[in-house]
Amino acid sequence: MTFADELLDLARRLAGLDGENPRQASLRRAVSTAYYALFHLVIGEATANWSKPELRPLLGRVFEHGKMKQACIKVSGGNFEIQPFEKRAAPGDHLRVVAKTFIQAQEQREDADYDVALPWSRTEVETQIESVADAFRS
Amino acid sequence: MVVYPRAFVHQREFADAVERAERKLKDNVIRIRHTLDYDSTGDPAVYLRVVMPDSSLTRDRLLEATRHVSFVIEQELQPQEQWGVYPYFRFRSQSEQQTMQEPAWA
Repeated sequence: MTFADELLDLARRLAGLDGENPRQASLRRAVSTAYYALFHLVIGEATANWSKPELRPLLGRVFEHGKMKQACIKVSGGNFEIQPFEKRAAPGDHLRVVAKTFIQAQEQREDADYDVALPWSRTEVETQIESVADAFRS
Repeated sequence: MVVYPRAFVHQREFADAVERAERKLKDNVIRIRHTLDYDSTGDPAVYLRVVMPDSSLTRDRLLEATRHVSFVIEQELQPQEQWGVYPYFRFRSQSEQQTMQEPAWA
């Protein structure tokens, strides 16, 4: 299991804590953790072919949240309905799903970590986690 | 010169457009609420809060249902192309909102 996979698994477990009355801390950490799962997945994929494996973690530190978001906006390219995984034919279809999911997840992470005014519900959190999990499949 | 996105300047018209999207989705959503603001990286944004029936948000249909609603809202509203704002979505079930009683979602 990669670090990104572990984070996604952790996000799911955090979201499922506390039974019928989830605590805001659990839900917010789940949202944040799911974003970081995708963040590290993307960086891992982007640096995977760097010829010196020992330098890949260092190269990964160069990536910035804001610049990654801007790149995702360029890639995601306007309005389209995200198809189920089985119906995504071209590599571009998969890439656009990852990009669009990244943009949403990043902003939700920001809200979850810093904006305490708006509470989260479990549905909001599970929607975000499952969209990230779907981006993992792509 | 500061240039504001059209949605910020014509907020009433933008709200009307959101209401039109809500009507178009009357079989899928209970209500849509929105806030215009700048996002965490300083880009103009619209935050859309969508309340949906519990029956639409079962675990096996969660992604399909919420993605369809997002798509229809984006198609109807064209937030980036027509209004200059990037759309962010959050989805909540009707029963959750009844319990939480959040004014921003009411």
